[in-house]
Amino acid sequence: MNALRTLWLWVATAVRASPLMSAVMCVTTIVSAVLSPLSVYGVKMAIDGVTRHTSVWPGILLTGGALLVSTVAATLAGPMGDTVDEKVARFVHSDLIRLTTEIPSISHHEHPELADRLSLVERDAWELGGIYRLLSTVGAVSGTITVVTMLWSVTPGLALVLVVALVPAAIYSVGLHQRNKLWKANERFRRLGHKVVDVMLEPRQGVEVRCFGLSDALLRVAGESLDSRSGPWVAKTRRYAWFTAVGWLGFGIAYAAAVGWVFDRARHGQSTVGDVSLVLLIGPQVSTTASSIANNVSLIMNAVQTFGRYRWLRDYSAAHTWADSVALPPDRLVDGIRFDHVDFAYPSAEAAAEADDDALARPALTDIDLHLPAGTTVAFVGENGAGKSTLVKLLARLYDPTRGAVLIDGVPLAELDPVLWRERMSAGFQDFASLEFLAADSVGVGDVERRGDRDRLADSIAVGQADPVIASLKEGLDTQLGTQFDGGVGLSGGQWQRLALARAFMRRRPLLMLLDEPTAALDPEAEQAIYEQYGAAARTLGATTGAVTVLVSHRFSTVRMADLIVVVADGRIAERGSHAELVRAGGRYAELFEMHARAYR
Amino acid sequence: MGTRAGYPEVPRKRVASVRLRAYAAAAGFGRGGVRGDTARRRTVLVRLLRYAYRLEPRTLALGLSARVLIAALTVAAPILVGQAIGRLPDAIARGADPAFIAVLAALLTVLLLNNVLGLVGETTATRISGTVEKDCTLRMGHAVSSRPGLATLDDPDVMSRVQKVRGRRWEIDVSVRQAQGPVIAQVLSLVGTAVALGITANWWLPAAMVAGWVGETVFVSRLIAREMDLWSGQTEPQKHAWYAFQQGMGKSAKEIRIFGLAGYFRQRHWDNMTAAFAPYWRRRRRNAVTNVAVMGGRVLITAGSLAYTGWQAGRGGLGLTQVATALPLILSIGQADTWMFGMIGRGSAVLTWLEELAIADPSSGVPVARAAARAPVEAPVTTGTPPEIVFDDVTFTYPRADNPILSGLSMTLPSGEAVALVGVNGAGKSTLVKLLAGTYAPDHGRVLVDGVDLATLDDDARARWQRRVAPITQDFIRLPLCAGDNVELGTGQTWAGRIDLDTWPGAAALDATALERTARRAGITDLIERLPSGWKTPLDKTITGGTDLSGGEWQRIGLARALRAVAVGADVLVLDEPAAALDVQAESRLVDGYLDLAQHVTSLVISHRFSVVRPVPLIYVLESGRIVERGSHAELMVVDGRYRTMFSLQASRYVEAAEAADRSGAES
Repeated sequence: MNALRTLWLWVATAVRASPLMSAVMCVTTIVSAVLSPLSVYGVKMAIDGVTRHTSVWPGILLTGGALLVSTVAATLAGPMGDTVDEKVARFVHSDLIRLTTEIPSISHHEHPELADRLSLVERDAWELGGIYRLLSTVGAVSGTITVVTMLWSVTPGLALVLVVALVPAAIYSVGLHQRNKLWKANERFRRLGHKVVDVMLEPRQGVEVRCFGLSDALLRVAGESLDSRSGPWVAKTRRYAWFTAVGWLGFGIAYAAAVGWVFDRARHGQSTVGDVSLVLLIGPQVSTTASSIANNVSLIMNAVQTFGRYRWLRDYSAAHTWADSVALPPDRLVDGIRFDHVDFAYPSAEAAAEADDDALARPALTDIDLHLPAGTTVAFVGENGAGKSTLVKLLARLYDPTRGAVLIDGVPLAELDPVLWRERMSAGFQDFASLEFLAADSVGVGDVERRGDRDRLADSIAVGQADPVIASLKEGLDTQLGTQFDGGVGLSGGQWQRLALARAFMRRRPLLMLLDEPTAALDPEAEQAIYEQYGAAARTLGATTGAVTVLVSHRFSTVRMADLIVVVADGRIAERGSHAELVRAGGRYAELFEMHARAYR
Repeated sequence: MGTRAGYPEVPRKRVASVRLRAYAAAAGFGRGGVRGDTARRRTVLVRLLRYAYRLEPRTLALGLSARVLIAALTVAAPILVGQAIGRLPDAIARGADPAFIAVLAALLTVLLLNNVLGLVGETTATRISGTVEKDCTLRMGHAVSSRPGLATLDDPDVMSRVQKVRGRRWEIDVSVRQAQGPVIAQVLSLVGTAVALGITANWWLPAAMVAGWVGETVFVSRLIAREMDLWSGQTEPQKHAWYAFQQGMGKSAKEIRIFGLAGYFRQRHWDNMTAAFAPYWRRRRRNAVTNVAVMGGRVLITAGSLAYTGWQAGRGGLGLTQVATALPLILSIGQADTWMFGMIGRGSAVLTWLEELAIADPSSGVPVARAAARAPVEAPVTTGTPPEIVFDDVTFTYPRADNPILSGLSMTLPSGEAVALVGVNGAGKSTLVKLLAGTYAPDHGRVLVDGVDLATLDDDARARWQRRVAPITQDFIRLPLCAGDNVELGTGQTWAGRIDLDTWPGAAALDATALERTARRAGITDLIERLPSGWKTPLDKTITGGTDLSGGEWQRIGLARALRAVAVGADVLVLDEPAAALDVQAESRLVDGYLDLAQHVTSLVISHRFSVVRPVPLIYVLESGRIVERGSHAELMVVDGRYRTMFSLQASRYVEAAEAADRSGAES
């Protein structure tokens, strides 16, 4: 049942990617498959003609005709097959983007097993090929029928030769299957090898690669990693080659017996000279046919596997769309946002917990109970790894809490339509994406519908302090970013950060603004200017829609502007209050603030 | 490096470095390097085989022998079949004589060998394929990382070639497999078959047929080559499509979700993919039609040959044996494939791109790979005294920029002392590091190390200088290896160098003593202790047992790496915004410990955080590409300049905050 659904996906993919060409490819595949044995039969007819002194022409004509048609079919099939493959790849790639991006959570990007599967599907996209490959099965079947018919025509018992030939062919296919399994199991080595080399290809890391003298060391790591993968693979290939060779030896014996038998029949007048010639001629055809049967079986098994993964991803995506979350987000916040006894562990930690690995299974957040009042600015403070970013991610529902709930004006976030909720929020991160588009698009995607609105862009750029960045670009907003592209301009980390901030300010009426250290690479003056400009807007917005701003920063100059400061430590909330209250309380916050302020006295 | 006694991989390393030199030699192979023309003149098949030979001589020899035998068998088979069939009527009438049995036995042996030799061919192909993938990957990395300069890597032409090779290197692998397998078999069997046909029937028949085959092969190869040209001319949309795809598949995961960009990325990918392929498909369609005509011509030659044989048989010019031999031979030549040849042309083209990468160096024109044939610099070579570094009236403009980023910059980093540099974003702080490391040379002025101008050094000397510099840059390296490796790489060597530490038997023998020492100095002991498997934890969530670090944690690892380099002899420490992602405590620890860390080395710390630079005795202020002020904190605060303005601005907020807190404290 599952295999059938998978095969159906194969057909559907080909049909959707390129219906006409897939159909033509199917026809040509079948035609060439049928015609190839026919030309051999033509030779037999011609030889019979010579021995019986009848005409050789029917045989010659059959051979020539079959040759002509199969050549034309093959000539068209080659390039057309390439095109179909490319169209399928385009279609599958596009579908992969849809599938991964439509999963509203991001946990699938962080689970090792899911990541492996994803990267396999991604890589196999080029192999997902047209449905015509499935039809080479038709070729195998028709080839089998032809061979069996011809053998049968001599004497039915001869068909057994084909059965014997199937043994080595089957061993070979099992070997192929085993090797594929091994290949995939060792995928991580390939990923490591390529990632390591990618580091060397990255200009921004060029100084470190050179100063640490990493060229040789990294090449060695990459090389050994690729070896870890290809070594066992070659060994397995060799082992199965031996098994298969033994199988072929068996076939050779059986075939010799068959020849002897038919010769004996001919001696007794039960077979003709043509019959014996046919058996002699058909030997290679028998082994080819057997191999092609086995190959097709493994081809289908492989495709079922590859498409199985693809289908798995489709199912996974469909199952994780949070289709039950349909409630509309409020137009404005009245109460605000609450964390109600929230626990959270990252997917990798959950996996570790399943594997009883306590060290890894450490939850990121434990029993968070917190109210972010409507219309306020809340700052999260704490050490690296304390759980601040996790809190931020939960607010965007990039993950669901393991226990407890995040409440938006009393409604669990899990019940809100994730797409609509995100339309009412915006965010800037420390590990933002440097989108190498036209500068206008790189910023504009912050509000994708209005990315063409130049006034809106100009405003956002001003708030994000990105004016100097745009001004430094030769064609301003219409400059291509990223040196990998023609005429593309490379930006520094700080410049990218300003663009990412401008992007975050594209949406005008967010209910929730998340600023997770988006200014870490900026100098304090720029950060100050940003928060002053943004802060004014946020206060107005807070007053009208009850919007909440959450900011994470290590700079107390920024943090102290917040109405509420929350100190996070070890996945728990250690302190909360205003700057003044916390300083007065003389706890953790006061200590950290003092540590920082000391440098400025 | 000597601190890690008994590390079991030393011999392997030596092998690897021999290999590396082999790459270098390989890439510079042929008179005057592989300049496009010589490469193209050599036939594609020979070129791919030579490439495989350099990598796996014995395996290739074995594989080729198998192919030659198969080809010989392919020729022998029809002849044996013809012989057998020719003797059949007699044998049936009078019983099998020894000659007939010998022919039959030979025929059966041929059939069996054919199958077995195919397996040998495949096994060798698998092995070669693995080596080719590795070689292509490593060569690419080697080509762009082996020279001390960065101009190559920053050059958009080189980068676009890198992307081209990266996206299509699999074509090399596929082509080499094809070349040493089916293609060579095809050529050999074609020759053999033609000779056999010549002996059996006459000589002009095979001559005409082979001519037809050659003509078509040349034609098809040209067609495919032209498609390839079109393809490489279309890489812009292809790059954009691939970029959108990668971002969509995870690199921009958060942005895509928060800003609702799923449809946008998908559309970008589709549109660019279509733009990349459309002209290619058009051309291919046109070609296919022409190709059918050409193929048809060849079929006519074959059909003519068949007809001629039939006619000869009819009038008794050819006997049964001859007809039975000739017909399969004619079919075999007539069906000889021409497409494969064109296809391996694609792999050969990508191989050319790869080799061009190795010689592409806009600044000197010296083949990168040849220059890199020098012995790798195993560890920093120091003179015992940390160097004095002088920037003397340095002006620098990036290759494609209009305005200089540094203009007339002069500063001195005294031997063995700590220096700090402050400046706003975009002032040129990171560029300064690139010049200091000798990855770029200034347009005007000099960077002097103990009085020696870096620009006058040759590549070897410059590489040796670089090994003396221990940096942490803003885009510091984050490798998906274990924590131990990420720190140990500061020495230019790996610690474990692998990710299967859970199953690798050598894992238990790894010695972390030196790492521990560095960890204590860098203050990351707590961080390592928190990791599930300590030093052996892979720093990548997508690896089983791995974990991701936050930006600040990564930065501390990067810092430890630089200190590890100092521990093995580097004597220039450069910290570019080392506190950007650190939390308050980590920053404060860094500030307190910095001067201690910087003992015995010449050091430069670059930051816009005054908390970081303040304790440093000599502070430079960089603005608009030049040094505008210098002095200690106290000195600079006296002068009413940039430093004081910036510092006061930052400080005011703390002072105000503290006062505000005091005030509210007093009021309540």
